Amino acid sequence: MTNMLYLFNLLTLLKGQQPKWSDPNSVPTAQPTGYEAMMVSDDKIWVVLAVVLIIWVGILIYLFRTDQKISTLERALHEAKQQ
Amino acid sequence: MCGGSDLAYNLGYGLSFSQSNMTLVVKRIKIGIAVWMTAVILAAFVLSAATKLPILEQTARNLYFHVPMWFTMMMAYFVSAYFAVQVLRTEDLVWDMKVVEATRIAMLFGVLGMLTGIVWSRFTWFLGTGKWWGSDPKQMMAAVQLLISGAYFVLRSALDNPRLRARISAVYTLFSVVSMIFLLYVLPRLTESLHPGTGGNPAFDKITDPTMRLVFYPAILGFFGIAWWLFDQRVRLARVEEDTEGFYIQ
Repeated sequence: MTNMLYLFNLLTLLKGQQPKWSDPNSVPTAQPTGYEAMMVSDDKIWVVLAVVLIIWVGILIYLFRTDQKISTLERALHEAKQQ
Repeated sequence: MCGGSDLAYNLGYGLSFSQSNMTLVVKRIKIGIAVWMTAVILAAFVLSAATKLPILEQTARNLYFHVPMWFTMMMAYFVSAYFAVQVLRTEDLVWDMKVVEATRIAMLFGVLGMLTGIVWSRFTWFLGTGKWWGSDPKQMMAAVQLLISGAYFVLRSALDNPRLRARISAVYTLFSVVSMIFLLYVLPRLTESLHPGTGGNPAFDKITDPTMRLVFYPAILGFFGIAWWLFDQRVRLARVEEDTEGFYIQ
């Protein structure tokens, strides 16, 4: 029980640091520069593109790893056939 | 078809007519998933969404991509828990292989959910601060969950006996799936978070306008389909590996 309370205290430490979900005052008003400015241009649609690309790359990496496993099996079967 | 090749065909993977019929159905389902997901991605960009909100703007559309990652992860974890129960019930090692593959899928989507969340928050709530990691309670707990899940593979690598490994890691899977519910759905709600339903933020059904649901729910289904597809490939591969085990020495 004291452990649970301790954990709850840890969580309350995080309290107050969080910006509000849709409150403009919780976000700094400084003009973004560099890649930030690029990402937030056009109503931030580029952020959505970045998110979609991350998912796409993740699926691709998984496909490549499956491919690798197939190749390993193919090689093993091929070698077994040769003997 | 000459007799020899006919025999080879029948012995090969023992495909009877009904089984090959089944593979055809599965193939069509996969084509369906591909078309469905393409339509979802198109609709996600084309249809109107709640893009007038400050901070969020067009990134409101990330709802269709970031959130389904977590739904898919949860689904994969629940499926892995089901397989784990089957391992303990039947002691059949085929189920053990399925637990591994389902956990891999869950972790893939968990990591993708994490990365998409990091990028989303970087250019919205953490704009101008240079922060990539916001110590959001839900984000922290998701990271903890991924570590717990990663330990599953460490645990497996430490055990040599396949039957013992299957049983012990199945119990660990059940533990990690139960911990996920508390980490992601109970603890973050006790404190403030950027996520809906916490710290005075509106619950999901209040912030989402009707047209967004039209894309959001199909997106979840589509990602379930993709996850099942990736899972299915690995399971079939493992089956072939097992079937041909006698033919070669690894």
